[in-house]
Amino acid sequence: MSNYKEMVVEVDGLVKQFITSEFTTVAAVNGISFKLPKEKMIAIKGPSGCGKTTLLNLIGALDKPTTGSILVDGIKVSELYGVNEAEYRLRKVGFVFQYYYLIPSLTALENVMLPMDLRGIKRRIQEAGARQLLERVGIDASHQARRPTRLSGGEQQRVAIARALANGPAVILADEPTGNLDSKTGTRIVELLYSLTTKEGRTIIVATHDADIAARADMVLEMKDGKLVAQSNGKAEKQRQS
Amino acid sequence: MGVVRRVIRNLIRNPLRTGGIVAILSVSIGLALIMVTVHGATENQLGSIGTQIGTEITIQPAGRFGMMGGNGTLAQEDVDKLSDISHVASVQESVQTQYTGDNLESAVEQGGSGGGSFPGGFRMGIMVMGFDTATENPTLTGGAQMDIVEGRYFTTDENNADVMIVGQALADKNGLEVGSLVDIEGVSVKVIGIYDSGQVFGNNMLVMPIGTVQSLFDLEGATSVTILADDVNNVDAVVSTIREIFPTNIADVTTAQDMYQRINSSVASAQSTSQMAMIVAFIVAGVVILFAVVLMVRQRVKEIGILKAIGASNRQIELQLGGEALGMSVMAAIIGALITYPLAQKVANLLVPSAGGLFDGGVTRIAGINVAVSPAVFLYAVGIAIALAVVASIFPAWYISRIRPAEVLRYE
Repeated sequence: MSNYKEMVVEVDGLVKQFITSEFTTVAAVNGISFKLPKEKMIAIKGPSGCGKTTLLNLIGALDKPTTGSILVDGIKVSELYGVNEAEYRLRKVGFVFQYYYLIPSLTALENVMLPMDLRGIKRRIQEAGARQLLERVGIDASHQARRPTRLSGGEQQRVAIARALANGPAVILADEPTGNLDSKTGTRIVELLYSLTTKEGRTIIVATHDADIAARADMVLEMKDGKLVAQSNGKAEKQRQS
Repeated sequence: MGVVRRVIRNLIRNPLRTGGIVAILSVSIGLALIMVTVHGATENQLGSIGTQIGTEITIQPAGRFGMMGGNGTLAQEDVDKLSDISHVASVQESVQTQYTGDNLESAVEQGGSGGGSFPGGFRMGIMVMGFDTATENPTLTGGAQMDIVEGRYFTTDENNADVMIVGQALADKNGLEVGSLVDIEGVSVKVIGIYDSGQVFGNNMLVMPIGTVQSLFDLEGATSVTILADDVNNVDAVVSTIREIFPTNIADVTTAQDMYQRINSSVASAQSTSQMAMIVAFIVAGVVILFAVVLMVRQRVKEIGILKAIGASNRQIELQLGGEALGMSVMAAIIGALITYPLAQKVANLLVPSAGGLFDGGVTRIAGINVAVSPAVFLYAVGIAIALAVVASIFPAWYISRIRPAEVLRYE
């Protein structure tokens, strides 16, 4: 029996297969099992195509596993459908994507308000909460009314992080959050994500092939060809790099 | 920031696209509304024609057509037999002839400007009509009704009196007024009234008691007899008996139903055209909005994926896209309703020519559709807009439920 107070994500025998255009079956995630603790930053590292993004999508209920189970904050994600699936994505997880994926017709502020709006929170509360979150990730008031096209890549990613935090999720899933940023901006984003675990006790799972991000993580899962090939704590990762 | 605000933001995000779709939809909805209006008007007109015509049977000497042609009169002894036919409710005789004297000048002048002239030097003569004085508000040749503007109509005891009522134009032309005396065929006839028929030719007539016309112009019998049957179901039987008195070589017998058929076919044809155009316009509007929404959804697959990824339910996304479709439909419906006002009558005129026919017994005048666009057209417009939005939401509802966020967000 899992201890939910300590573990926030439990994955058991997870398999995700795709059918290729040649009608062959490929396993992007192939029999993975692990448990992830609360209030930590966990890095999933590995080369491109090793299944990191697929794993995050499965945890975030953006995709359905072929077999296996996923438990997030006590919810059996692999058994969710329809409204329950949407409700899980709305309340339990927050996504940060490599390409930010902000809604172009909305301002930075409105993008952060959107998840709260989908929950039916009153507009006044939405706006106050969104402004607070944007301030926290470093987007000042003058930039909050701008549309995404008028923000830099780093600013857009900060807005995306604020949006991910909007409904106070149990887990933030970040897929290559620095992949589209220059190294300096990327470092700042990593610092921001890390501070969310240390200062606010958030659980963050980052899929990355960036060694620097892995170095800041409390736990590192290493994948190759859809399988989990190594699991270590952050210190070990740091020592290995040094 | 609610769904309404997001809908508005998306509608103004690409004004050219929204404007284009709204413009095409406006034309379709406008056409549909025009056709709904015209269709309603034709329906009213058909009902009205049926009521107007009723059980009327007209007998005229054979070969007589409207006010022109034909010879002679219907023999009085035969006319007298008509009232004895069973199921005949009333018999109204009338005579008409031309005034050939020099004491009056026609109001329809040759070669002049305005509506009362003939090109090429042809001069319209003055028509004399005689009615039974018991007939209230008789119909003049050409279908016009008399509106007494000065003086009075005949009393029932004036059937042979030397009195007449003169058309407004003829009175003006000849300086006639109530009380004037005019020499007609050697008899001094007194003007007791002046009427306006609203028609150039109708206002160029002299109307007298039937006995007076027969006496002055030495006529026997009638040039036209109008009979009313007691029931629409008895019209054929009455016509059949009339035919025994007046064979086809002696008289033409026209029933109201004959006329009704002619008018009916004209208006019914307009009705079926308007109905067909209405259906086509609805289908076009439906296809346009469906196409627009399909385009909108296909272009915004990634955005839909993002919305799903951050927790929007299928219903919430459908509501937003449906709201956008409704917004475009409502804008188009308002514009469509507004263009209905100036165009409905024009379209109706195209479908049923309303130019009055001089020689067709007023058929086209009756058939011409008078379209009144009521404010209810806006209610129709709202109905159409909602129906289109419902049609338009079918595809997104199906498509959105199939989108897996992981698939649409996989590749940049």
